[in-house]
Amino acid sequence: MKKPMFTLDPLTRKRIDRFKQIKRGYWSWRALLVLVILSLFSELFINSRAIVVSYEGKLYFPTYGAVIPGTTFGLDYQYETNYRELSKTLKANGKGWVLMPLVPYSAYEQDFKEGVYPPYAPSLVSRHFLGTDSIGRDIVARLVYGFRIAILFSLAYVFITFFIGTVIGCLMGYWGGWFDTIFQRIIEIWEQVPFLYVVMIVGSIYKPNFAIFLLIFIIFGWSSRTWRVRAMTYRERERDYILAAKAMGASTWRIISVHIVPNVLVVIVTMLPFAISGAISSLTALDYLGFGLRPPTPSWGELISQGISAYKTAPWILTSVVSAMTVILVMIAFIGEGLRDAFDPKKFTVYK
Amino acid sequence: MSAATPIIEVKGLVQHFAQGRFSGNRIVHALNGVDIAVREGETLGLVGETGCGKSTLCRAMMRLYKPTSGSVYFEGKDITKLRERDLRFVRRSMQMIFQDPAESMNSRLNVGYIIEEPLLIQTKLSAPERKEIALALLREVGLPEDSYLRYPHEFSGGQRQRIAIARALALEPKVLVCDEPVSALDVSVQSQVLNLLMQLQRERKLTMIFVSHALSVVRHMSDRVAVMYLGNVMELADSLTIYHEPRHPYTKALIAAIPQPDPSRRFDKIPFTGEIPSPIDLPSGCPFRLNCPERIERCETEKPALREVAPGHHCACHLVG
Repeated sequence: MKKPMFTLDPLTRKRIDRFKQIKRGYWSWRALLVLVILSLFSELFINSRAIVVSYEGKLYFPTYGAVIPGTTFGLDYQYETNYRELSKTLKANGKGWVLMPLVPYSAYEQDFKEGVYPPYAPSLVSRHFLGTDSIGRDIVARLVYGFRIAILFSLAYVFITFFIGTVIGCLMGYWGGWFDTIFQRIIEIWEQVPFLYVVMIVGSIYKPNFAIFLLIFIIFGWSSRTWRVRAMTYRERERDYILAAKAMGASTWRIISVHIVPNVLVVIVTMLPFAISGAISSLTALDYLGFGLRPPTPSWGELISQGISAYKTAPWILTSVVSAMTVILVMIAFIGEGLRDAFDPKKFTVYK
Repeated sequence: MSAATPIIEVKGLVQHFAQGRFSGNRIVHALNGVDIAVREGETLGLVGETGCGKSTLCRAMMRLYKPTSGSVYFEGKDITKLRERDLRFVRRSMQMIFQDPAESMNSRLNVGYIIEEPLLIQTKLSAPERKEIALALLREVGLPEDSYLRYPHEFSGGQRQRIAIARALALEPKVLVCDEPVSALDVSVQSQVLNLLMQLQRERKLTMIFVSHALSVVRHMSDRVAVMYLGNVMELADSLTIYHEPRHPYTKALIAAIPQPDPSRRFDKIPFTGEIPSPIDLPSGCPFRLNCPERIERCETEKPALREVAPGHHCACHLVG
């Protein structure tokens, strides 16, 4: 027998069906899902390492794994092979072939042409499809890897803060009394700490890495997630089914996880997309101001700041990053709007 | 009275609810010193108007509330101050049926899970064993077995109440507390559910506490009836006695208000004077004195105690006995 707990209840199924009917939300969801999954494997599409190298009859897959020194392929250096050069060499001496990714540059690598200073304009020949930034790094690579970091960051941030916020909010609403009062006051005080200033102070003292940055965001982000859950829990806990569960001797944890959370999940789900786009925006803003992740890390904020300082000589930097950001944020907003309408009890919104 | 210890006994039970922490001393006096004993195997009816504390008494007996003062005994054991984890045996042996079956179950869970949940909490039975019990219960309350994987909203009110009954019976409780189990149902299905409850009580030898504001329903179901007013028990007697020889002025007024289809047998209506006092500001003395047609001076100063005025007949009135 299938466990009844894990089957979807009819209400949830109806909501999912309704979400699928809201075309732009559903298509944005699918497109974004594809983008996120592709970005997780972006080493296969955008990388200075080759996908496959055939050398003297042997096949090499350098994408993931340790550095392969140039001597392996009969070159005269010990450091990592330059696969773009190798491709030319092998074509000349006929000892094998190299399959390069679509964009044969990594996000960190500087590509210099002789006699010209970067930024280089977009070019199909050099495979810098959106050009390079002012120190010669490929913009497509920077954009995609920057997107990957931003989206993973905001997903982790949003899910962790919502988890903490839901647990504490539920307990506040369910226990009420002193626990509620004390946590309300703690949160009210905590929310007065100016979060962005704290991040800037920490960011200016030492450049934080991904984990520390996430931790700071979480420490200041969980509290605002508690309010709505707390209010919903207050409403739910007075209902008879909670009393019935208590009469059966259900534990607090059971009442919260089996009975209350599924019924307050609506507010959480409808808030999620907007929280995610908010997190992407604030990460970008911090990077733009230079208080974000440590510099060589690819980031949209840093691209925007480069683009602004060079928008006359290299307009492709600003155009590409702003377009990318607009598309992503609009898609997330569409998803959020679709979810909100799918979960709306008054479900007669007209779409045009 | 039988010599055996009553299965549930409450003594001087007081239940207050504070209304908001900062709104001064607004305290709702839901129960004001209730003494009542429930004998094993009987059906005790609780009647009274809305807000008189019937449901609160039930929930306090089940220890879903923490009593303000007074004590609750279950099978002779004081359970007033027990902590939730020590109440497990009480939870196993007392189960409750609520007024609105749609409200009393989580609509996101299917019927199988709803019925099995008490087993999941209280026993270590395996999934197939639980399913077997749930299916047997569904048959017992007269629902098809394919209800198992369906959801509460797919059923009618009467069927949903049957699901609630099946859930309440899953742990094979000794006491079944029915808090207005039929008032949310259509008249046409009320009697079906009542008959099911009576049949189950006979078969399983349940002790039942039956709350209702419909006097005819209570008479049909109960062995004894307690009449409540403003958090007090006013009169307690066998249901026949209550209906034929009510002693307390409040009970008399209630009985006289039962719609009587036969015009020749109609009682004279007893006029009900004044407004019902608020449970926040209790009247001094007898709680019923403001509405009582027979009040005397003593009612204002002294609260009448619940005394035995005839064998098995208790009444709280200065004028009786």
